[in-house]
Amino acid sequence: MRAALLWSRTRALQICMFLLLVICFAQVLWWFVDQRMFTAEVTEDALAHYQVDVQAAAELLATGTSASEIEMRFPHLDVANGHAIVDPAIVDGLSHSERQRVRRYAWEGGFFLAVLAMAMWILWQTIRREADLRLRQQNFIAAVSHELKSPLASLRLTAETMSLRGPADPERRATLVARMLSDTERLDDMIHKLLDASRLERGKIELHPEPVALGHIVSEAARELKERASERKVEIEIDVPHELEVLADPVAARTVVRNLLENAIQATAAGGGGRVTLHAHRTQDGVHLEVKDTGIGFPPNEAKRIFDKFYRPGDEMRRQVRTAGTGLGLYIVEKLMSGRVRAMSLGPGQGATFDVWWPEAGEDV
Amino acid sequence: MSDPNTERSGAPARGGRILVVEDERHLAEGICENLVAEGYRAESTGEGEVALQWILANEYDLVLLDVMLLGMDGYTVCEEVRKAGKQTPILFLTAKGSVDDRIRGLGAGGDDYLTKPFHLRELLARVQTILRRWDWYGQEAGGATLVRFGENEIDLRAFRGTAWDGQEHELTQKEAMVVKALLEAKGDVVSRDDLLETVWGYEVYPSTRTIDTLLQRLRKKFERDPDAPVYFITVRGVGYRFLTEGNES
Repeated sequence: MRAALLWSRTRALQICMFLLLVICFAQVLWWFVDQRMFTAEVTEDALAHYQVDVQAAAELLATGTSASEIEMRFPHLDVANGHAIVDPAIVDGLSHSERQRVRRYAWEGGFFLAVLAMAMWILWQTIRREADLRLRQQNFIAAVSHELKSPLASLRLTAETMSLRGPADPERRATLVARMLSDTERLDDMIHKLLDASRLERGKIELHPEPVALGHIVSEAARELKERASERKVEIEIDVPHELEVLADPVAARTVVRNLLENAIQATAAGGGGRVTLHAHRTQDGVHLEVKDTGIGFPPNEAKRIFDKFYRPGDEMRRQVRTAGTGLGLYIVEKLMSGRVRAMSLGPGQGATFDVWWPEAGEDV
Repeated sequence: MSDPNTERSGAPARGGRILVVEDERHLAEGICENLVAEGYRAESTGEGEVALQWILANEYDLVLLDVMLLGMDGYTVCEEVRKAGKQTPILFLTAKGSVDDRIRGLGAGGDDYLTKPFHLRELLARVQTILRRWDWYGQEAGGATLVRFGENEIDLRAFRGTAWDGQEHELTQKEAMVVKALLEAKGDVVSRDDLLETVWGYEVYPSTRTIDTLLQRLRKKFERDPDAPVYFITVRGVGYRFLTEGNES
């Protein structure tokens, strides 16, 4: 509801700006037409005045006044063969002057409109970006609130259940304890992501690259998330040669792989289950790790925005994925990889591929 | 997410079939287990569309509805249920706890609103209250499900009424409950607080103005002149009375 209100306000502002631009354009157009008419009128007045002089010259010619005397009295007239006419050079001059003025007005009006349009465009973009950021922040608050409150509510519910229902049998107690531990882990994970994002924002994370076995990191992340994946009918397939070593900060590399895998599991689960494949290979620019899923995908034009902070597809209430995060996971990946990450999808429902690459250990960097 | 096909039942048979719409698997499981332990039958799903289908196709006594769901959000589910003419009680159970969210939930046709994290005992108490209220409504008022007053007729079971001008009107759950509460008083005055207590049970609405607005709506539907009502009478400073014979004086 608030998101809709925010967008309707932004839209209203943009419509107002557009109307203002249209009004200004109409005003400039009217000013230009008016100036043109005025200039034409001035020229016509001058020519009419000269025509009066032509008549006066004709009368003088009839009274026998010499042509040279008439030309001296009316320097803008030509007298030849007993006829007086307005000097063609003067008529041309008037036309030229009129055209020049019209051209100047056209330039001035055009320049004014161009400046106005540019200012409006800048304002338009600013308003749009501001609204977009506010919407993402609202999404973030809603997501954080949901992601923190849900495990908290579950923890409280389990604890209160144990308290209200009395001692449970060992099997049941084990189930309840496992549930509490899982909720605690989720809270812990969430808090880590928030702190990581905050540190990255303040530039407080220093990376210390060293040779790291990529296969080991990938296997570790898959093992950690295996249970979560199988619960959601997601199969994980790994194709990473063990000898591949990359030059990366081990903690950052682990975070990147885990976040990418988590994201792929969520997207696949949202599509009703499927497969996530992690494939690594050498290329000229280093070692690439591709995380490919058969999940919900995204519109190709969102490929860059997907790494934006707080980015989550759609409305915060109509969740696209079962365990939608805060919109920080991919943001952290992008920051830690300093741009060496790419997202690709053929569109919604078509799955997605995330490609990250590091220099191979032993290569000159 | 909870298994959508899960149905748990257990003794003692307090009765009541409850649907838990919650996409957090642990929460859904925990709530279902506790409802079953209290003697209710509980089912769960985490998807908005599935919940809507189930509510429309089945007769639940209560729905516990989260707002942030997969596919369709909880508010929309509630609105669609009400649009389809189903008056199944709905308790919103959500992390979204601002005043705006509560107003939106209740405006969508929800009966109550509980924010996460909640106390288990409070949840169970609210469930019990809503079901008790629903039981009270299910009991026929003096054997009547059809209420006739003047040329008007209200079917309390079908949540519909036909006005003096032949026009058909849908009644909301709360409107029908207010009619029933007034009808049970047999012409005596019922205070606004009593109506709130009987119909809403909890102080989910901020003031008794809600009752006044609801009575205005009933008058617009069934009174020839809503400004000079003869059936839904205001007793200044006290409350309302319902005269099936009409007050011609």
